[in-house]
Formats: sequence, structure tokens, C-alpha cells
Amino acid sequence: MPVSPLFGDTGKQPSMSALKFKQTIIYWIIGWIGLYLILQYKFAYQFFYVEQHLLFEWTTEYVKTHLLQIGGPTDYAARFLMQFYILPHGGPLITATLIVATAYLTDRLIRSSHSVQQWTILSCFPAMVLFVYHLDYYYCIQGTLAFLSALIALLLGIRLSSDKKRSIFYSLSVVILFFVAGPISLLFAIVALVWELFGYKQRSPVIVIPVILAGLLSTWAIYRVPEPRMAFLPDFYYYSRLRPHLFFYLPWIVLPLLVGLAFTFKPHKPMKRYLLLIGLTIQLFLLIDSTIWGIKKIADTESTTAKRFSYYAGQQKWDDIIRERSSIKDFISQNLLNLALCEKGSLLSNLLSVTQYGPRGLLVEWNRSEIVSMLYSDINYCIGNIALSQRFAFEAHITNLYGGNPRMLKRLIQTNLIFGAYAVAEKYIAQLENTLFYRKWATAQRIYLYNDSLVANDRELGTKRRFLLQNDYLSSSGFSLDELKKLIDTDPHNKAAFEYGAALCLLMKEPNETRKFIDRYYGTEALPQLPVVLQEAITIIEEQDTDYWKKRGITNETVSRFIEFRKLILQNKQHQNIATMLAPKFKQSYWFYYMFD
Amino acid sequence: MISKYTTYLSILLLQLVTACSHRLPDSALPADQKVRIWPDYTETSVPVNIAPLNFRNENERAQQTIVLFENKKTAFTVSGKRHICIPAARWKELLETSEGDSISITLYDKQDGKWFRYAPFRIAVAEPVDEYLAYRLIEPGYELWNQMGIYQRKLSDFEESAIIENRQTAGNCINCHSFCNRDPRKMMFHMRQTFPGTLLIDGNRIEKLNTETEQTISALVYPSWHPSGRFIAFSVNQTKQAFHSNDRNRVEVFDEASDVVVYDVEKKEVFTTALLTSPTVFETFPTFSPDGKQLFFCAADRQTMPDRYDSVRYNLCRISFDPETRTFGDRIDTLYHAGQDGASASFPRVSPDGKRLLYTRSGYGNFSIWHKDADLWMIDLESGRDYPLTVANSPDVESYHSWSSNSRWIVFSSRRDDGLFTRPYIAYIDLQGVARKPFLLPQENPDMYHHRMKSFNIPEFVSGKIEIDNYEISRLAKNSPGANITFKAP
Repeated sequence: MPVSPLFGDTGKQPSMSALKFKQTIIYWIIGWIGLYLILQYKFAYQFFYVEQHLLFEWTTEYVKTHLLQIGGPTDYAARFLMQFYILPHGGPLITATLIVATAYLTDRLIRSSHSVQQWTILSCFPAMVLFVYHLDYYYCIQGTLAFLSALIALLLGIRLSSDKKRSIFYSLSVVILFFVAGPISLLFAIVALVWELFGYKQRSPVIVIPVILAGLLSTWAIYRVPEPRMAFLPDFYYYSRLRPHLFFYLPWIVLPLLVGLAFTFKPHKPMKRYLLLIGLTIQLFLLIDSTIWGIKKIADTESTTAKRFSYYAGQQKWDDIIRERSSIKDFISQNLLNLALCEKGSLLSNLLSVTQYGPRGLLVEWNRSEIVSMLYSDINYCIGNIALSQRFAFEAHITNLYGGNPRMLKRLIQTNLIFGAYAVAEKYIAQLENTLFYRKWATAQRIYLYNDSLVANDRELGTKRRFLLQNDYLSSSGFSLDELKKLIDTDPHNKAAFEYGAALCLLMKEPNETRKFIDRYYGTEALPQLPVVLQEAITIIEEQDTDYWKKRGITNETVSRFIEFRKLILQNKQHQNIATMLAPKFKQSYWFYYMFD
Repeated sequence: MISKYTTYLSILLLQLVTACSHRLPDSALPADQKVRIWPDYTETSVPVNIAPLNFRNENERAQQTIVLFENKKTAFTVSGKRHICIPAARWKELLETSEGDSISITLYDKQDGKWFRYAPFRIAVAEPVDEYLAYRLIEPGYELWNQMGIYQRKLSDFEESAIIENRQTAGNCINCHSFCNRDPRKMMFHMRQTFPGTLLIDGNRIEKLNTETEQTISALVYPSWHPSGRFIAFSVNQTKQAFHSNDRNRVEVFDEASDVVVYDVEKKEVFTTALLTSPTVFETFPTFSPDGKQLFFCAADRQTMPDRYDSVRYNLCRISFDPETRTFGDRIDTLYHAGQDGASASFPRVSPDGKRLLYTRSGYGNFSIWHKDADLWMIDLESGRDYPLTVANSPDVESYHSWSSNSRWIVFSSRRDDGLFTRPYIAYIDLQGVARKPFLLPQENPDMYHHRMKSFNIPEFVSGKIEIDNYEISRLAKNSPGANITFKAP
């Protein structure tokens, strides 16, 4: 009869020597450290990003909302753990611990079948899939906690010697697991059934009771979950509006299979060493290969830079974004780079020192996603369009998976304080005060409530309040050149709005708009003198009008460089690689961007 | 061991008993301030069947609070630090013995070791209200949404349950719930975006309709049931949304075109008249009179939108309707002329006794929920007198509203508490049509309004519990494109 201790072997199982046990534990610890290091150095920002989308409140209301539902306790526990993703190393440590615990307990379960260690690496398969899904934004780690709960219940259940006791234990566990962890109870019941079928020669018909019970509970749950499939499948632990990849179902398939295989192919004598080695190599190859495939396929690695930059933006680590600009592969990251330059006051002076991809590089189209809504809120806040910043903060705040976006909630507090909507700001402050890591910041904002003069004199809030548009107009989406002009006209000291306006003209390659923009502001407080990039723009869009150059104060240096550029163009106009030839000297000039980018 | 448990049990019982019978402090000093409680239930009128009006003492210095509730026949006290949670049975008895009269409430609080007594306030106890209130809970947002649903709340206690939630329908938009004569068995609502359609519920029968036709400018929008249950008047609207750059109103919702039509439930057919579908007029917000012989609606001269969004002003109009022949009258009466004082009317609702019409007035447009100046106004349909519900209104938004079955109560959504989250206020309308001070729908824990980050939208009284199979609704919504309806030309 199989016996399964949670930690180490006892009973009729040949006992592991203390040395071997220590050795095994050391392997697991090494595995845990290795996993932690991989997560920390390759995926740390995934966790920071996820944390931005979770509002865990330490209130009884929050407990009631999340605890009193199917799978509520594990849902609550998952959210509780995820709030610590904000801490450096928090996400990787929590994830490594959960994954290694899953692998360890799966291994203990398989070993409890009296099988020897040739299944160890295959036992890691369910944990491996869960590891990959921890890198998927739409997966809730509740699924991992549920899987762990089922493993613990199995390891406890199979220790019982009497058929009757086991049946009672399994049945009770099915009910408890169902309410604590959701439809994992069905997997638990199936694995318990497989265990009974393969592990015992004499079987009682009562062994099917837990499966029937789990089936009935899942059927009852059909009426209480968003999609019927979620009542029976691991889909319960995935964002309900999306269908997970087939890979996601592997743990639920592999676990019962492994149990069946472990009993079926239990060697009566130790395997030959070379066969064991071949077996382990194949398993290891399969495991590593599947992990790499899974990460490529499931984990959204393409958006890593955008997520990292979004996190930096939340922390106002603008220098970090600028420093890591070489990793940009998407428009969102490009938008955040330009935002970082603007926040540093150098969007125009450095506009072409980084690769630009046209006006979309300043602001992508709004696709209703949370990350783009956050981006829109950040950019509009920077340029002083507070109403739009508030709007997009709200859109991002309400549309996320985990009930609130603390970073955008902070923005809602700021924008409402700027508008003087103190009652609303107070409500948001109270909500943010219910969190562990944002409480201090939220409480610090209370001094501004109902205190107009303090807001007006605050460096950030007061400045943004001064930038508020004097004349109201209706807007439907992101910024346009007209809207930027309105912001500049409201306060010519709004440098961010001016830089974005000028950058937009330049990146659109619209000579008329650029000239009109310069004419409108040249000599005003907004544009006392032309930055180099605008001088370059004038020389190329008004190439023949040198009087105009003089009127706009184009420097001799710019003129000389333009003459040189033009000469090289004329001399080499038949040259196929003219851009490559000019790049070393003129790549960062507007002339080069205008003609070749 | 037994004696230990007996002692604990005795202490517990003693605490329970004394929870409602605290001795009032003999040496309490008269407070020199007026009592401040939240929600503000002072001098309000409540229905005899309302749930306990639990509240919070707003005096932050209060170390303890004791409240004496009394009428001519009974009295009891409730204590707490600042939160006062009234026992349901004692409250019920108090109200039932006070109907037609009032209760007196005296608050005592302890500050720095000294007790203070505030001047008592009264709450009038009037006729009962319908048993349930239905509303949608939604984030007070701009363009996107997440979780939303239509819920029902039993008014005599704190039970709230979902009628339908969008988590069961792929997170789509669920809106415009409407009941026929407040009947819980006969209702409708729309679904938008995913699984679009209109769900009609009549007892156990659930029907999904695809309400788009080639002849109408949109699917059916704002509904109002004919009292017979055979017809539902709808507007059809080309609605747009935009956002203010710096205005106390955050959002602007406006129509670029709109008409009014009537849907025949039996024939699955919409019909209308040229008077309700003029290309030069925006017609919207239809509502039938209780006898079903008149159709009220709002109408404004067409403007170029969105440029002149703040120049659109809606009149309040009426046209006769013959349900037997499905025909409309040949002239339109104007009850409120927007040109008179430069305001705009929306959401007309006639009291079930047919005597009064309640509507919302704001400076312009029809989406008054986003207009800070929106207030409730009443028209006496017999005399034609048009007057504001001054006591019920606030400096902030008052917008959507509905009547109770006995015409004595109205419920309306108001943003008065924080300027953003709409909450349901209930006001008594006396025989002269005058509103008394409204009260906020009571909650078991009054702090709920601070925790809940959703707005109460479209509050509607319902005469009983809505028992519909929401699984069947979600199944039908997902699996059926909906029965097509047809249009019958005027």
C-alpha cells in the first residue's frame, strides 16, 4: 500500500537516509535559487507591472467581496501575495517559492506511489506550465495556490490506510477545495480516483463518490461563473473574456497521467544506470524545451520593454527610460521615451538623437487597452491637459483585471485636486489609504483637501492648475496640434506642451504647419529663440527664403552645416547609399530625418 | 468548564440585551451645535416600510454616541462609538407605531469625558413605498466600463441581489432597465457591444430582440412601457460623447439625430408618426401617461453637433395615442417651452395617479446626469403649474427619477454627496405635489457609500422581487442573435 509523507519518507516506504534527504532538499533549494535568479534578472518588471494593476485593500469590505465566492480564499490569498510584487525581489521570490513548492509536492506525490526517482523531472511539468503562466498578465496566481491546495490534500489523503477513511476524506476535501479554491476540486477528485484505481488491487465502488461530488459542484457552479467552461476547467484561473492556450491545460492532464504512469511502470528492480541517465536526459530535454517554447508562446516577451518603461514612468525614473532606449521595439516604449525626454525638458534638443518613427512615436492610437490609457494619462498630465489625463486615468483604473490601478488612482487624486474637486479626491484618497504600500502617499495628500491656496502654491499641482485651459472645448481623444496650441496659448511657460507641439509638427513633416507654428510663437515667451532642430527645419522647408532665416535668427553655424549637407546631397544624388554616407555626420539633424527617415 | 461557558454566554446575552437599552447620561450638557450625522436624515420623511436608517455621528471628537429613538408609544436607545446601527425589529415597531406621525431622535455623545446632548430632530413616517428598488451599478466613467449589473434592493431591509451582471455576458454593456407598471415580472433591458439586443421578460418568458431596422436610425434606446404591457415607446438616437477640457461638467453626451417610435410587443413591430420623426427636430425620452392615451416626450430644434451642443434645448411635449388603433394625434402640445427661460427638459415621468409630471431641467441638452445645474421640476397636469422641487434639489446634479406605485414617493439619482458618484435619494411628495426633504437610501453600514466606487444608475421602484433566471438570460443573450423586428411606415 502506498504511503505518502509530505516531507520525507516514512512507513513502509524504504526510508531515505538522512544524508540523501538533505541532498534532495539541497537540490530543491538550488532549483528555487535558480528560478528566483531567472525571474529576477529576466522578468522582474513583469511583476512590477502586474502590481500596478492591483488594488489590494485592507478592509473588511474587500475581504467580504473576495472571500465569499467560489474559490474566494485562494483568490484573496493570491491578491494578498501579489501586492508584495511592488517590493524589489518580491515577485520573483513569491513566484519561485510557489513554483518550487508545486514541483516538490508533485514529486512527493509521485514518489509516494513507491515509484523511484525516474519521474522526478517529469513531475516538474505541471509546475513548469504554471511558471510560464505566471508570466502571462491574464493568469491569476490563484490557479497556482489552488493547485498547491489540491496537492496538499492529496498527500494527506493517500496517507490514510482505510478505504472508508480515504473516501470520506476525499469527499470532504472536494467540497472544501471547491469553496476554497474552485474547480481544482475536480482535478483533485480525478487524481484521487486514478490513485485508487492504480494503487489498490481491491477497489470499492465508493471511490467514484468524490468525482461525482466534484462534478455536481461544478455543475452547480455553471450558474455562478462567467462562462460554463470555468466551472470545470482551469479557465477559472484565467481572465474570463479570453481563452487560454491549450498549453494551459497541461498540468490538469499531466498530473493524473503521471500518477497512472508511476503506478503502471513501477520498476521491480532498480534501472540500469545508463537507462536511467537516458530517461532523465530525455525528460530534462523535454522540460527545458517546453519551458522555452512556453515562454516564447505564452509569456508576452515582446511587450517587456513597454512594461518596464511603464513601470519607470510610474516611478518617474525618466533617466532609466532614456538610458535603455536601445531596447525599444514598439510604439508604446517610443512614446514613453519621448515622454521621458519631455519630462527632462529636452524633447526638442534630443528629438533626433534617438530614432524617431513619425508622429505615432509621440502618441499611438488609443486602443482602449489599460497600458495605452495609462500612457495617454501620463502624456496629457505632462503637457497639462488635466481633463484628458483624468479621463484616461479613469479608463485605465476601471478596466484592469484586479479591481483598480493604484498608479492611476494617484493620478485621479492629483487631477481632482488640481480641478478643486476635493470631495472626489477625498474619496479616492480614502480608498488608496486602504492599501499597504500607497497609504503613506495618500495620507500626505490630505493636506491639499479644501485648501486652494496650498494647491496653488504646490510646485506640481499649482503649476498644473495654472496650465488649465481658460476656454473650455470638447475633446474626444488624444492631443492634436490645435489642442496643444490652446495649451501653449493658455500659458506660454507650458514648455512640455510647446515641445510636444513642435515635435509633432516636425515628425509629421508638414512644412506649412511647422512654419505656422514657428511664426505663431517665435519671439513670445514660449519661443524666445529657435532651438537647433527648429532652425534646421526652417532651412529645409524655406530653403530659398534666406531673409526668413534671418528673421527667425538662424545661426551661422546652422547655415554652414546646412550648406554642407546640401552640397553633399547634390554631389551624391546618384549614390545609392547616400543616407548611409551622410548618417555619421547628419543622422541627428532634421534634414536627415526629413529626407531619409 | 461548563460554568466557564455559562459565564461567557451570560455576558454575551447581557451585552445583546443592553445593546438596545443604554442608560442615557444624566449629566449631559446641552450641545451648542446642531447635530451632524451622515447620511443626513434630520427632518426627512420616510416610508413606514423603510429599512433602519443607520448613520454615523459626524462629530470626530465623539468617544461614544448614544441615540434615543422615541415616539408616543415606544422608545429605545442604540449606542456605538460613532456608528449607529439600529436593531431591525425595534426599528420596525417604531415605524409601524408612528405612521402618519413622526419619531423623535436625540443624540448624545461623549467628548473628552463629558456627555453632550443635541437638540432632537424628527423624522416623519408616511405611507409605504414599493417593496424593491432596482438600479444599475456602474463606474461613473467616461467611455469604458468594466463590471456592471442591474441589481435589486429590498427597501425594508438591506438585501441586495443581482438581476443580471455583465460578468455573465462577456463584460458587455447592460442598460436601460424598465418595468411595466413597476411589475417585477414584466421588464426589459438592453445589451450593447457584445451580444447586442433587447431582452424582454414576461414572467418566465424571456425573449431577445434585434431592434435594428433599416428605417430607424439606431437600435431602440430609452424605453417606457405602455400601461397595458402591449407597447413600449422608445427613442432611437445617434448618440455621441465628448469630454470637456476644463468645465465643471466632465462629460458631454449629445444626440446628432433622434426620433421616437413605439414597439408593439405582440406584432414585433415598431411604428411611429411623422410628428415624432421630424428630420428637423431631436425627439427623445418618450413616456406614456398612466391611462396610456398620451405619449410625453422631449423635443428640440435640430442643431449642428457638436459645435452647438450647448444651444440645444428640449421642450416637453405631448401627443395623444390610441392603443386600439395604434394611431397618434395630429398635433403636439408643448407643456414646457424651452425658449421661455432658456433651460432644457429631460426624463418626463407621470405619476401613476396621473396628476403630476416630474422631469429634469438643466441649462441645455438632454443628458442631464452630467450637468451640475440639473434639478427636478414638477408640472401639475391639471393646473399646468410648473415648479421646482426646491427642497429635494441640491447645488449638484439631480437627474433620473421614478415614481412609486402610490404616487407618494419619488426616487432620483443625485451627485450631491461628492460631485461624481450618483446615489439614490428618496423624497416624499405630499398631496399638494410638494417634495419634502429627501433621504439617502439607507445601508447596513453607512460607510458603504464611501467604499463603493460605483454609481447608482436608473433607480426604479418595483412592487416585488424580480425572480428571473439570469443564467437563462445569459445563455439566450450569447446564443441567439435575437428575433428581428419590423418597421411599419406611418
